[in-house]
Amino acid sequence: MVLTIAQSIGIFIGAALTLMMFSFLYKDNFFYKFGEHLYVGISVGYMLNLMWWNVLLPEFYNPLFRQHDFVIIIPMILGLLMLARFIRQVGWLSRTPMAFTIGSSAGLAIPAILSANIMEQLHSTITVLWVQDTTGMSTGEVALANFGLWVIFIAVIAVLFYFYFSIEHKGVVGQLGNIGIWFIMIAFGASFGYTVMARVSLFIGRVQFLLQDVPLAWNTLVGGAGP
Amino acid sequence: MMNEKKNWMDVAQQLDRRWIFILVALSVIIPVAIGVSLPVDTSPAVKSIYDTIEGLPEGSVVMIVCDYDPASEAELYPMTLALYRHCFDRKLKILSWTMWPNGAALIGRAFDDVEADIDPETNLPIYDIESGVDYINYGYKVGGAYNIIQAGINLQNTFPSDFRGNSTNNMPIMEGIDTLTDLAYVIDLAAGSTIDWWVAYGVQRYHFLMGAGCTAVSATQYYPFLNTGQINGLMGGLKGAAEYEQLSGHPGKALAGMTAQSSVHVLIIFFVVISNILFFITKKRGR
Repeated sequence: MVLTIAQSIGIFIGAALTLMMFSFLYKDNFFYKFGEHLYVGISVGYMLNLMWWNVLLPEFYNPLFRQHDFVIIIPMILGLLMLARFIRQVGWLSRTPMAFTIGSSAGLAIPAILSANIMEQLHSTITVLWVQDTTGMSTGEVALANFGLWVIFIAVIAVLFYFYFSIEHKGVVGQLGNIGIWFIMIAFGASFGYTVMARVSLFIGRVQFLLQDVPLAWNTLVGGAGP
Repeated sequence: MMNEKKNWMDVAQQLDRRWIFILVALSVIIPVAIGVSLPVDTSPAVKSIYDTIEGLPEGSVVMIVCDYDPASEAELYPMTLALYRHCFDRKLKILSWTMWPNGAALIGRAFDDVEADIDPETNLPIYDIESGVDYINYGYKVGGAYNIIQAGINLQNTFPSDFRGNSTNNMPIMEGIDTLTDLAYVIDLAAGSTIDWWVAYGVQRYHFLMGAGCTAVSATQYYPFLNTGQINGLMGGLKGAAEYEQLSGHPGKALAGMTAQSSVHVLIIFFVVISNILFFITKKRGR
């Protein structure tokens, strides 16, 4: 990989800021605070710039002033009304765009989410208790897959019973609830394991950056390898 | 009391956490510095995405949506590179965009990285690809889930221009591509909840084939979609990326990071076991 001089300088700044951030692991210090404030400031500046070039210019300025598409004035007014919240006397005006946004979002989301996240999941949990297509699977694999489907079915019922508070958790209901706790703990354990893996992955990414990209940048700056 | 000699249990229980930070750091730095990469097992969820791309006819158009930003780059950027390279190996065409403002620059960098791949034998670029013909980078698109609904009705209206502002109307890659259902495959690489949006507003509504890649944190959240067939494959975190790199024959940073990942996991398991032993001994002694 060939780096330009500008890229190399960028990598060195990135490396310095990475080390500043990691310095917090020892204790809170000036370098960490400096890096933190720089990050927040640059993020806001970058986002403002990005929003202008990617949102306001192509979605508002160009359609209105270059293509004379005056329909864009309606969402513009709704957008401006949102800002009315900052002025107490006219703050009530922001309710109109809020109502429009929440109403349209809810109308769009409720049937879609119900279908994708509840009905479809419920259908698969309840109706598919045996593997439908066993092509190319050995008897052992089919048995294991069927076992998995039954485990999911029992887990859903047990966890639902755990969260069902209208009946006292005694007898069969209590036992099902206890089984539900086990499934919830296993699910939390799996999530925790994946979370640990994710955080370690981010650290690996930073270490790869420091040990692989920084020497490349050094070679470019010192050895003059870059264009 | 001040001079009472501490036994090993007291030392272990009062260990400064910074010693643990140092051990974790060493268990990552040493494998990365040595550069050892071990082979990884391939899971059916990742293989399914690979098989789908392998099975697509030459010239098919695939949409790869990069819904992440630099905060998740370590996990999802290797996935992006491996997918791009695999698609171009198979002579497939790619449409790429993001719903994350800071993701646009990463898409551009990924295409640049792939274009810069050099064949060590011939010293020539491996991929002879051209924007508008072999791929389009639409960049960042504001509007979130509404874009998915609109793209299902009319792709051209949703993305009238690429990230440089060039009109996509007459680009050769768009020939015969009017809606999401005309695409051979859609893959969302997500650091947030956009896979939920794609399933709810895309797959459920327009019924196209979809795979997904996500950070390890969200992986457990998306396995139910895999089991119901709403997505046909899932890559979870750096491990998923490493599996895909191995399958596609493009070893990269994910595969190289797996040794470090394994060594940290061994260390964490060791700490968990030791902590539990200490807990039970302390409990037994009634302290």
